[in-house]
Amino acid sequence: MIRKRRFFLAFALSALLAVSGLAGCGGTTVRYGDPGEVETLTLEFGSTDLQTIAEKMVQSLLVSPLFGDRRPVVYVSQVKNKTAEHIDTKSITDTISTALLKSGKVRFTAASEINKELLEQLEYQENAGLVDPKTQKQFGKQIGADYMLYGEITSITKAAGRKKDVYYKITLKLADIETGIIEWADEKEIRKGAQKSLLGM
Amino acid sequence: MVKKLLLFTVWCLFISACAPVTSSNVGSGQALPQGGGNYAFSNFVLINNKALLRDLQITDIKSKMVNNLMQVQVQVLNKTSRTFPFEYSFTWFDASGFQVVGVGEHWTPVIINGNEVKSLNGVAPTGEATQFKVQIRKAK
Repeated sequence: MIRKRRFFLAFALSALLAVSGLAGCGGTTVRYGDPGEVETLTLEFGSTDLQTIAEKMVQSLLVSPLFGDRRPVVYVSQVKNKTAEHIDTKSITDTISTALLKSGKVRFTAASEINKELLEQLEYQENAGLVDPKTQKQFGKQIGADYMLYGEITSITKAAGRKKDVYYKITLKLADIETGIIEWADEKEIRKGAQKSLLGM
Repeated sequence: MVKKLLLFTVWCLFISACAPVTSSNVGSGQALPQGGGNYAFSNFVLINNKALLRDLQITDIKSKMVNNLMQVQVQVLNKTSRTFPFEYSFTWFDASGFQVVGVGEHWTPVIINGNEVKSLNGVAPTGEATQFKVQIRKAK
């Protein structure tokens, strides 16, 4: 009888140990992660979506005949967010333009938010009387962009019962600023699905 | 008996904490012929999972130079009738074998249907890249 009770106690203790071990109880664990890891924490637009979209667009642009030997100057307009959720489209635009710039195939004019500061700096150099005239930068020397890169991201979200489906589509276009002709366009689609478990955990 | 049970539990906990890792390299990167071409598949693709090694087959690898950038296409066949996900990532190297780092390098998720052939496409981040390696792994 005692032997049986001992066995039962040991079994209960072991089960408790196992459950607590698997549940990982005992506070928060912080660790560094790989930023390039596939992230599927929630259905919302995430880092993997951003990276996948940027990569596809950059690859498509880099192999386009527009980016041959000459390095065209491009003005980047921020991608418009037409989805129902908050998406930092500036981050998408920044990743695309940084990758393109790093390739050495394209040059970019300063983004619109920097233009004001550039103008202020030019005015300062000309009017403050503090800058050596030999190094003073002149008005009217900026290079006009050849193309404008613009686009939008849209989404369709559907839910039925425990299932939810999100479809994202990003479209980018490159227009010749002088002629208004759209010289390049591409789109990338992403579909993600989630299903809640029966217990709702 | 009690000791044995406790030992078994500790062993189970240890096993659950350390997932088994299977790794099998199909090959290592080599210098590519200049100007693109077709290659021995095994030299440029690394699959680190036994199940994927069994279920996937590299059927073709092509490359060409576009705008002085290396463009690569790797074709993967799902030898099974099952649909399953996997992830891939391109790594680029210069002529000396140093890694050429691009922007936002990441693992790309792919879903491959039964008996389907998927193309994994990559474009070198800069003109310096003359070698590549594609890593394929199980989706987490």
